[in-house]
This record gives sequence, C-alpha cells and structure tokens, in this order.
Amino acid sequence: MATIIVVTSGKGGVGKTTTAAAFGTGLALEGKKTVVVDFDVGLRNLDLIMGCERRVVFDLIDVINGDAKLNQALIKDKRVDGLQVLATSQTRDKDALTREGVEQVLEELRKEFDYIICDSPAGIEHGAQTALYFADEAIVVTNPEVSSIRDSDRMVGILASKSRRAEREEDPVRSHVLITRYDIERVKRGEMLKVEDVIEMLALPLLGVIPESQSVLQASNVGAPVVLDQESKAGQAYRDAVARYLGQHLEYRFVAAERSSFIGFGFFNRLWRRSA
Amino acid sequence: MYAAEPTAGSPGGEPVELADCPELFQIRGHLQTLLALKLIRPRDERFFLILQQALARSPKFFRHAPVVLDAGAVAGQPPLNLAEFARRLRQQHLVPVGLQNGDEAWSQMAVNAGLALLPAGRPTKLASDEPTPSPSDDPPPRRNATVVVSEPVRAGQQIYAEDGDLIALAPVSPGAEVAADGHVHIYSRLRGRAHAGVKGDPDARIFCHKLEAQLVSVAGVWLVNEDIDARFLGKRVQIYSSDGAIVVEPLP
Repeated sequence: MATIIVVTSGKGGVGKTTTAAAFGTGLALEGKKTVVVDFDVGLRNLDLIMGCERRVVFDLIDVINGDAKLNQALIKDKRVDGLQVLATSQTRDKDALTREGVEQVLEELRKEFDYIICDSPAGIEHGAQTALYFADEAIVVTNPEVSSIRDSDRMVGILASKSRRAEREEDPVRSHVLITRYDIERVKRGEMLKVEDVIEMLALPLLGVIPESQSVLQASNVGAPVVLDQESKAGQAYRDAVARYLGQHLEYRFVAAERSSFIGFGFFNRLWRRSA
Repeated sequence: MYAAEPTAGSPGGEPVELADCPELFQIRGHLQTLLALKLIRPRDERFFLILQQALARSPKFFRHAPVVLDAGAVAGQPPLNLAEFARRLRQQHLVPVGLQNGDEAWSQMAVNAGLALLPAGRPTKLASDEPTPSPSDDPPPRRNATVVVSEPVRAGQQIYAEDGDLIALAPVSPGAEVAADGHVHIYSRLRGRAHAGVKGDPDARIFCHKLEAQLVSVAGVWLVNEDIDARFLGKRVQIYSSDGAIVVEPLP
C-alpha cells in the first residue's frame, strides 16, 4: 500500500519543490517506486526541476478532467529507474483541482507506486490544502528563520486539523521537519537560528538539515535533482534524509557543532525516533 | 459602449454549478439553545418597561441573546405587528429570530417581519438560570468543564475552555491563542496569547512555566509583551487582576 507524503511549508521559496524532487529521486535510488506530483497549478515548477519540461503532454488537470489517462500523463525519469513525474497545468487555475478528482488520481497511483510525493504550493489556501488532504506523512520544509518557522508551525496545525486523517479521526499525519538553506557561518555569527531552536519551536522529529549550497541552483538550471550530484553537500544531505526516513540512524552532517560537543550524539539522535 | 457584463461568478459568463465549485460552504444540522419569550399580555402598555427591568437583572446574559417569540398563550387573538414588536425588542438588545406556537395569522405576521417559523422547542435549563433575581451583575457560574490540551497549540489555532479552566501540557506557539472563562494553566512555554476570565471573572488567573507571551489578559484587561517587566520574561509566573490592573508575579 503506497504512502502519500506531502512536501509543504506555508512559506514560499523555502525549498519545497527542490525537496520534493530530491527526496523523491532519493527514494527511487533506494529502489522504491516513486512518483512526484505537482500540485502548484498555474505556477508549476516541478517538471523544470526534474528536467522533463520538454516532455509534458498531459498533466494532472487533464487526468482529473478525463481528457487523458493517467499513464499518458506520467513521465518516466530518464536517469533513475522507478521514478516518474506527474506535472500540473500552467494555464488552468487551481479551481480545476477538485478533491474528488485528486482522490481518484491518488487511488490509481497507489496501485503502481510505493511512494507518492505531493509537491504543495506555498500558502494555506485551496491548493495547499488539497495537496495535504490525503497525506499519510508530511515533510514540513523550514528555513532556520522566524517567519518560516511561524508559517511551518501554522501548517503543522493545519495538517493536524484539516487532513482527511484528522477529519476521520484516524492516526494523525506523521509530520517531520526538514531544515533547508542552513548556513553554518551565519549560525555561528548568530544571524540564523540553530537547529535546536528550530526543533524546540516546532516540536517535531528532524528529518534532515540541508545546507545552503550553490549546487541547488545549478541543479535546477540543468533540471537534475540535486541528489544526483554526488559532490554536492546538499545532495548528500538529502540522501542522508532519505536514509533516515527509511530507518537508518545517521548523524546530521553539515550542522554547526552546537550542543553535540557536550551533550553528544545522543541529543540529535533523540530528535529522530521511529515510532513502533 | 461596453460589452454586456458576464453573469456573476464565472469568467466566461457560463452558469456556475455546485459540482464545479470547490467547497464554498457546508450545510449541516445544528443544535442550539435559545431563549423563549412567551407572550402573555404583549399589548399591555407597561410591557416594554417591565421587560427592560427584567433584562436589567442579568444584562450580560441577555445582551444580543437570540430569542424565540412564543405565541402559544395568545393564539386566537389578533396578531401584533411583529415587525414593530421585533424592532422594540432589538432596542433592548434582544435579537428576535423566530416565532413558535403561532396560529396562521400570527405565523403570517412573523413571516412578514422576517422571522423564522420554528417548531415548538423543549423547555431546558440555561447556563444562567437564576431562581431568584439578584440585583448585582453576576457573571455566569463556572462549571468544572476543564479542557486539557496535550499537543502543542500551533500558530493560528485557538482553544477556548468555555465555562471552565484550560490546562495546556505542551507549548503554546507564537501566533496561537488559548482562552478560558476560568483559569489558564500552561505547564510549558507560553509564546502566543492567553486570556483568562473571558466572560468577565476578575478572579481568573494565568499560570505558566515560561512566560514569553505576545499578549495576556484577565477579564478583558490586557498586557502586551513589550510592557511585561523584563524580570518575568522566561520565568515561571502567575498573572492576575488586581483593582483593574494586571499583576505578574513569580510562582512560589
């Protein structure tokens, strides 16, 4: 049975699409059949970041409207086996995204894939709510600064109250924080919040810390998710995040030596616990 | 000179159907408790004067209260001009919403006055039922309906413990709001807003383990973060009202 993961944040520009692409690709590299779905109708970006914008014929909205079959809209990634992309429309607006339509598409996708990554638009309105509604898990992407943390906190509240799991009083959506654009030098200078500050404010398990990196921009320019760049620190951090998600216990690299020097490895380890 | 306006609600002028729209509203059954004003001698010239005196015994309770007019005792009599009657009730800050137990003539008058025709309700005890009128302005008695919150209260969430206390066992984020008619206890960090004594109880208090609130209030008197004495920020405190002013004190 597939797991639906929504990549969301509230705040715009923090790295949702970069994360959806990298995390999705990372899962496929680990052998999981993964599809990444763009829910940002009108401002679509996922196909650019995945490098398939020149192969998009049909999209999510076409499938919802019955103008195309799902397998006509799905685009196979050329580099990684088991990875596919479902782009969204640039020309329609988000009212074309109906809950029933999305439900049907997700039901079909569940049969084929192990993981369905939903790339959410920014904000907390219809598009973002539709993207999170059917989620089993959530990756809340957060920059280590106050306004992003505030918006992420708001989003966590919405996940806890407006998802289908919340409405049906089922097990809640499992939410994780992924810190992105973490800049060690700025943290050391006190300009940027430390990891422990972010986690203290959001009170959620930490999936990973992705360092600020030039390679992210380069990756989106060439349309290759940054996780494919073996030398990039951001790419390596995303691979660590995927491994952690799949159950491995890994140290958080690329993080300033905040408390680990006196509390030790245990502190960060406690931040990442898999529940039984 | 200008092209005809398209029909409202659609860019191209086509009619908009329920099925096309994302969720704009939900229609659900809903249970409410309303006051019933049983009309016995509504034409008596002292009616509104005596009504005003009756309402004055519990002004807060009756202010803006929705009211059903009960015409059971006056059925058969010629109906009042209910539009005018409703206007005079509104002058006394009641909100007439409907008529029950009216005959055909009364019901027609009610419809003309924009009132709903309601089926006969059941008598029920109200939160502020007082068997003997008291001259003072008492707030409604607090029931022990304590609300316990064990998950963090996130930005944008509001939790209100009506008629009781609120106990939070997890942090209250900036941008979150917790409120109670009674006391507010936060066994964690308070970073958002906390309101105690929402219905006016001046004895209500706020207790918290780490005061970093954006705003606190007791019985409507508020204090913003900027005005909190810096000694108390980040500390374990209780907050209460004394002579109309807010006092912040360390917990023992």
